[in-house]
Amino acid sequence: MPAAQNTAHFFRIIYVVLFVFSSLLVLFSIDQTKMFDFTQVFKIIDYLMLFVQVLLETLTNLAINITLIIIAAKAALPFIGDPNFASLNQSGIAQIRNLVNPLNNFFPHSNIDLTNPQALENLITDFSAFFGATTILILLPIAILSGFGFLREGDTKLAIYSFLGFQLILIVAIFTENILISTEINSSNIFAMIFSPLFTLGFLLYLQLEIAFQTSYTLNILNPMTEREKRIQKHLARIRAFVPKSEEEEEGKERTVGSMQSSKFDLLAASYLREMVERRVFKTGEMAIDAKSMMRLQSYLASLNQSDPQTDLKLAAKTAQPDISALIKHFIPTMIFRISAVVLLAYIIMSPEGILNFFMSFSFPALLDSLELSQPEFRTIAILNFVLLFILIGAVLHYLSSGRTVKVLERVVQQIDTLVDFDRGKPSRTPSEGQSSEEESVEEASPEDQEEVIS
Amino acid sequence: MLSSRGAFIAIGGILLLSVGLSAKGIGTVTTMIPILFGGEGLTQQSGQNQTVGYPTGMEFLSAFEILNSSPIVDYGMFLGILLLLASVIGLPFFQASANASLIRVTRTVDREKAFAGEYVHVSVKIENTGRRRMDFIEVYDAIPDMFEIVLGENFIITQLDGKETKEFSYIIQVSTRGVYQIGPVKVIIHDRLGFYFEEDVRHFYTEVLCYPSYEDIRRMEALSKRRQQGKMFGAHKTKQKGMGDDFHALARYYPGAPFKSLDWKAFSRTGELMVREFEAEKNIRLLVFLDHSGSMGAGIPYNTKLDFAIRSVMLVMKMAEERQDLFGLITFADRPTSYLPPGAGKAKFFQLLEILALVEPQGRSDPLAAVDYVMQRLPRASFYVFLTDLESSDSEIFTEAAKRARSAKNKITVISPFGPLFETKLTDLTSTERAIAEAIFEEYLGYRKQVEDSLRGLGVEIINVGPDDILPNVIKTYMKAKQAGKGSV
Repeated sequence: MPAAQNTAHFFRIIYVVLFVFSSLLVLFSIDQTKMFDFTQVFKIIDYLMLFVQVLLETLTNLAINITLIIIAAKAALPFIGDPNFASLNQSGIAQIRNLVNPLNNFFPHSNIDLTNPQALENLITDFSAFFGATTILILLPIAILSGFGFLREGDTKLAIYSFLGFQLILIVAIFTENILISTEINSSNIFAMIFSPLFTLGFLLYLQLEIAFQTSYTLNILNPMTEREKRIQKHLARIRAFVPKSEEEEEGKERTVGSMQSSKFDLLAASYLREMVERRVFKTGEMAIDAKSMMRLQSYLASLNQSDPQTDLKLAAKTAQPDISALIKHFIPTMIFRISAVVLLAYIIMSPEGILNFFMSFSFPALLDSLELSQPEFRTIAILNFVLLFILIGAVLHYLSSGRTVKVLERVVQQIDTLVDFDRGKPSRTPSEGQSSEEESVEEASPEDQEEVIS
Repeated sequence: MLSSRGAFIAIGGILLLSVGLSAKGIGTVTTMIPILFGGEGLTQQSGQNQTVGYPTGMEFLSAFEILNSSPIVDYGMFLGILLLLASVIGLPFFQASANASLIRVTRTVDREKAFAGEYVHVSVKIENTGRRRMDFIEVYDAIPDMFEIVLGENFIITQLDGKETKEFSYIIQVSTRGVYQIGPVKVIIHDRLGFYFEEDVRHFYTEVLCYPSYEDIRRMEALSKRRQQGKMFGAHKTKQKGMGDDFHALARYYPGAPFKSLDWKAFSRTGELMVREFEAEKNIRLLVFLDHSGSMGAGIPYNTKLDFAIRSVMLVMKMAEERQDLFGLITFADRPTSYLPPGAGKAKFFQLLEILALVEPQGRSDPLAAVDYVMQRLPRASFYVFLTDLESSDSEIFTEAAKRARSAKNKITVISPFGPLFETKLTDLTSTERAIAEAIFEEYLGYRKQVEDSLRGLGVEIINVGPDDILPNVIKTYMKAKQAGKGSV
C-alpha cells in the first residue's frame, strides 16, 4: 500500500525538517567555547585535591591529639610500664605533622587558598560551570540520537526523550549562563513574545514534539493495517495454492536421497539413513495433519467466498482501512488551530495582567494594576483556572453527548437456536431478546420426537 | 481519560512550572537571607554605593543570584504553561466527539454449530452512529481460550467518519466440545495525539455450540468406503437369515418350506429342489446410559473417560442411525440430566450431538434414578448400554438399577472405562511410581470385582476398557447385540 507509506513519509519529512532546524538552533545558541572549555576539568581536579588535603589534615590532627592524650596519660601515670607507650614522644608528633606540610612535597597540594573570602563563591561558580558543560555534553548526543531513533522506529518515547534532552540543555545553559541568545521572553505583546528568541526556540522544540505525535498516530493507524492486509493476503494465497503431496511421492524422494548417500559413504550413510527414517516417522504424521487441516480450510474458504465474494477483503480488513486523504486533510487545519490556540493562551497566561485586571475590576478594584499581578504566582493561578475550565467544558460536553444515548448495561447473549434444551446455567434473559429458543423448538418439534428436558 | 502520554505531558508541565516557581523562590531567599541574618545586604543596598553584599560566610549565595533573574523563571514557566495547555486544550473537542456509546458493534457468525476441529467465520461490523469523526478507534473482539484464530485478526485499529460503518472478519477453529461465548467487545477511542482515551466494554456475546469431533465417524466412513471397494475382503459381517428382502443363499428344500421360496432355475440346473433364503432385517432399540459424574472427568485433559465415552456414543449412534436402528440416550450424574427417547433418523442424531456437546463431569453417579426415569417413559424392552466407570456410587445402587432394568426384560451391557488406565501409562512411570500405581490398580480391581460379581449374577455383561480399546469394544457390543437381536423392535 504505497499511499500509506507516502503519508507516513510526509509526516516524517516534516519532523526531520523541524528536528534539524531546532537542533542546529539549540547548538548555536549555546556558548561552545565555555562548553568545550576543558580547563574547568583541571580546576575540578584541584578542588578534589583540596578535598583530599582537608581530609588528611583532619585525620592528622586527630592522630596528633590522640598521641598527645596518651603522652599526657603517660606523664600522669608513670607506673604504666608498657614499652609501646614509652616509645611515644614529641619527635613522633613532629614527624606526623610534617606529613601534611605543603612544603614537604610528599603529595601534590591544591593551589586553592581557603583563607580567601572569595574561595567558596568561586567553588560554587566553578562547579556550576563544570556541571553545566558536562550535562550539556551528555544530553546533546542523547537528544540527537533519540530524534534519529524516533525517525527510524516511530516510537514516541524517543521523541519525548529528544524533546526533554533539548529543553534540559536550554535550562542548564540558561542557569550556567552558557547561552548566546537573548534569554528575555518579552510578553508585552503577543508578537514580541513570539519573536523572543528563547520563546521561538522552546516553541519550535514543542512543535517538533507535536509533529512526532502526529507521525506516531499516522504510523499507528496505517502500519498495522497495511501489514495485516499484506500478511493475510499472503496467507490466503498460500492456502489457495496448497496442493497436498501424496505419501508415495514423499517416500520416493526420501528413498532416492537415502540411497544416494549410502552409495557414497558407509557409516555416515547408515547414520544419515537412520536419521532420515526417524525423521520420516514424525514428518509423515505432521504432514498428514497439516495437509488435512489445510485442505479443510481451503474448501471452507472456497465455500465462504461462494456465499460472500467480499470475504477476502473482510479477512484482510481492507474494507476497514483508514482514509489516507482524510488523514492529511484533517492534519493541517487541526494543527494550525491547535498551535494558534496554545500560543494565544500561553501569551494570556504569561502576561496575565490584562485578564486579571478585567476580573479584579469586578471583585477587587483596589488590586487593579498591582505590580504583583505580573508575578509568577499569578501565572500559576491563571493556568490552573484555564486547565480547570477545559476539564469542565470537556465534562459538560461529554455529559451532553452521552445523554443522548442510552447505554446498554445488561449482558446481551445471542443464544444458539438449539434442537434440544440443556440443563445448564443460563444468564437471565433480557426482555429485548424476545422468545427463547426453547419455546421455538418446542413448537416446531412433534410431540413424539420431542426430547424431554429434565430440571 | 488522560492516557499515559497525556499524563506525561501534563506532569512535565507541572514540574516545569514548579521549577520556575522554585527558581523564583530560591532567588527571593538569596535576597532575603543577607537582610534577615546580617542586615548587611539592606545596609549596603540602601547606602551610598548601592553595592550588594552578603554577611560573612554567606558570600556563596551570590552564585544563586541567577535564579533571581527572570530568564530561568520565565522559561520554566513558559514551558510548563505550554505543556499543560497542550495536554488539556484538545479535551473538550475529544469529549464532544469520542463517545464510545455511539459506536454500534454487531457480530455475526456463519455457523452457530460446528464440530470440534471445524472453522467458524466471525464478522464484526462497527458503526459510528454519531455525526462526528473518530480519529483513532480500536475494537477488540474477545474469543474463548479454546478457540484458535487461523486466519484474520480479532481486532482492528482504524478511524471512523460520522455515520460510517467498517467491517472486519476472522476465522476461528473450535477445538473442544461445549458451548462457548464469543465476546465481550472492547472499544477504545483515542485522540490523534494519543493524549486522551475512552474505553467501553460491551457485554455482547455470541454463542457457538461445538459438537464433539467428527473425526472418528469420518474415519469409520472412510473405512466402510474401502470395504465397499473390496479393499477389506473378509471384513464383512455375516447377517442372520430370516424373513427379510435381501437374498442370502440357496439351501436344500426341507419339508415345510414355502413353495414360493423354491428356486426353479436352480432345480433345473442341479436337479435338486432348492429354496431361496433371505437375510433377516432385525432392528434393535438401543439406549445408552452415559454417566457424567465427577469421576468420569478424570484423565488427561481433553482425553478423559468422559471424552472417550462421548466419542464412543457418537460412533455407535452414527452406526445405529445408518442401520436404521432406534437409538436413544440418557445422561445422568446424581440425577438424570437429559433424555433423548429412542428414535431413528438424522435429526435425532443431531439432537444427540447437542446433548453430547454440553455434557460436563459433575456430582456423583446415580444409575438407579436414571433407570427409574427411563422405565417410566419407555415401557418396551430395549438394549441398555451403560457407559460408566462404576466409581462414583455404591455397588448396591448399580445392582439395584440392574435388577430394575432386568425386571422389564431389558438386556444390559456395562462398558466401564477403567480409571487408572486413563490417568497414566505404566510405561511412563519410574519403578517406585509403578509400584504405587499397581497398588492403586489392585484396590480399584478389588472394588470393581465386587460390583462385577453382583452384576454378573443378574445376567449383566461387563466389559472393562481402557483408552485404547473403548471404541472397538463399544462397536463390538453394538454389533453383537444386533446379531443376537438384543432389544429387537
